[in-house]
Amino acid sequence: MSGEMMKVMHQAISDVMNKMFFLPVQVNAKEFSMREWFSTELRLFGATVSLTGGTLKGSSYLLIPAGVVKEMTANFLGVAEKEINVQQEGDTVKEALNMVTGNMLSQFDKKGLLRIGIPQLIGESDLSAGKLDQFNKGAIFIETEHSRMAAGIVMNSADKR
Amino acid sequence: MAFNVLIVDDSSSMRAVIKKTIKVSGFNVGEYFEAGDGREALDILSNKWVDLVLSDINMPNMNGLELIAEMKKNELLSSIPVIMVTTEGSEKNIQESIRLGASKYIKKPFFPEDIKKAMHSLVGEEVCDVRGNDESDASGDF
Repeated sequence: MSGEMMKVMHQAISDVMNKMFFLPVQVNAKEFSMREWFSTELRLFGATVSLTGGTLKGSSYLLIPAGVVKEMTANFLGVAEKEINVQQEGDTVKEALNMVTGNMLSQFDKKGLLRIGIPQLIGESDLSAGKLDQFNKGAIFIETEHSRMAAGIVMNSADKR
Repeated sequence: MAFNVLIVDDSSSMRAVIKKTIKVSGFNVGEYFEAGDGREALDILSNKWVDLVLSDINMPNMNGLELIAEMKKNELLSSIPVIMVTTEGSEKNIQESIRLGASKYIKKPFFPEDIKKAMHSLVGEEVCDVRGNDESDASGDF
């Protein structure tokens, strides 16, 4: 990911996590594989959303440990963690990705050429340790006070196979 | 006088957050209605009295821009103010919202104050001032 793109993504993530989820975050600028980054996490939530427009096609994604998702959901909805269900947790991850992606695009796609799809949850099997490195490309690594998350964006020419 | 609000967003969590934000802002809301997309919203609008709509843009089945376009075609619905609450912050989408007749836009992520300020300018009614500060950079007038 280019330095400029990383800066925009970092800004978008910070803005969304602070305003909507009351969660301060900072980027770890070192390079990791996703498997390394999440080596101590037992369970992850993930969401992805497509980006299309003109000659470009791609997607963005967000991966967050289950414990952080619970905290974010409680902060977002203003309820206790014990009252939260798994559907609300999934909703939180999708909405967070939607806001991060929209925020990012409003900064580097001012003409609105790219269209954001509907965010989808990534299946549990695609988040197993053996498959996590499929998300290495275009990733940035984010630290929260007590945990970590990752996000990324991958863009290609629409006619590229 | 109480007014009825329709919140349109495919995320039930986001609908809950917007509803809670309106409640804590002290507006005198009679009934809250919720829809997961533009089609559901039109169903509600054809059966219930709604005074104000807050709608996302990016939704399945019928998006927020298509919803406004449909509302403007219907003389019973065309005068209902619509606030766009959306991640779609590009100039193109904002201009498209203006062209179609949206009254305000609020970019996600938002502060509760952004919702309050936009609603206040449209319905002009509140019973308390939560922050006592009307400054905001995330919402805009058309």
